Amino acid sequence: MPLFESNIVQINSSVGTVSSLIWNPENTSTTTFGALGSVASTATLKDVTIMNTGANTIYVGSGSISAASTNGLSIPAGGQLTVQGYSVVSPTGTTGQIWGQTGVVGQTSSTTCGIASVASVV
Amino acid sequence: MQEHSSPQKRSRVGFFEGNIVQVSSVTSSATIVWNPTNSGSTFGPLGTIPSSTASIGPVGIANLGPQTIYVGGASVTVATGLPVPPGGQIGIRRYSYTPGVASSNSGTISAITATGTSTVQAGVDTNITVY
Repeated sequence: MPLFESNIVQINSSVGTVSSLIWNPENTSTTTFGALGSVASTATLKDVTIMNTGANTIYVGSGSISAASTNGLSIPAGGQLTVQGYSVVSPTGTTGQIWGQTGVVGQTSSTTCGIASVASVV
Repeated sequence: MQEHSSPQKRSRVGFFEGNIVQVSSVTSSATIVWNPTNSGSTFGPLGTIPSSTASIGPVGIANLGPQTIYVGGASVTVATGLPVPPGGQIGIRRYSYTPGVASSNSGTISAITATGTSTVQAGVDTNITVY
């Protein structure tokens, strides 16, 4: 379980068959997730972590991953993925966005994404 | 400028368990970077890991560069893959496959570059087992 920096967590409780946005680092946007709490729009967001908190495998990627799921990266139920090296500053549009889907009709899951202050202990 | 990231020291190189590392050159065509099948194809057997091993995981993928890679399934594209910059890495917790059972595509992870070639290491990552 990662420890997320406060206000830098976005939850999508309904990841379904078709890809939906699960992480949007655009701090000026009020769509989908709203702004990232009190994080300054000029802040650098590094090392994003994606938790699959639901009951089904999800497939993640950038942009519109296909229903076939073979172009997304799978995260099993209860699993977690951290991208070390992820870094965005004042992103706009689709820059830095991460999308997820189950790819299976009738299956849903949920995700918690954010900047983990403790993503891996070394 | 404010920066939000982990305050403690973190490694940019995965700590792979011995003999469970696969190295590949990723190009602008989708390339398998991790194949848990202990069959001897593609990457050869997973070191000394017997096919009867219950499961292997979690998996880590390190992009040694020099290009950004995009990681996903067998049909990954630059537009859909998860980008990992040079020097970056991905760790997937709860990834678990049985080497002797996994089929040719089951559990495989692929990557692609927009242009050029990048060197990628993938393996069972002891680093990300600690949370």
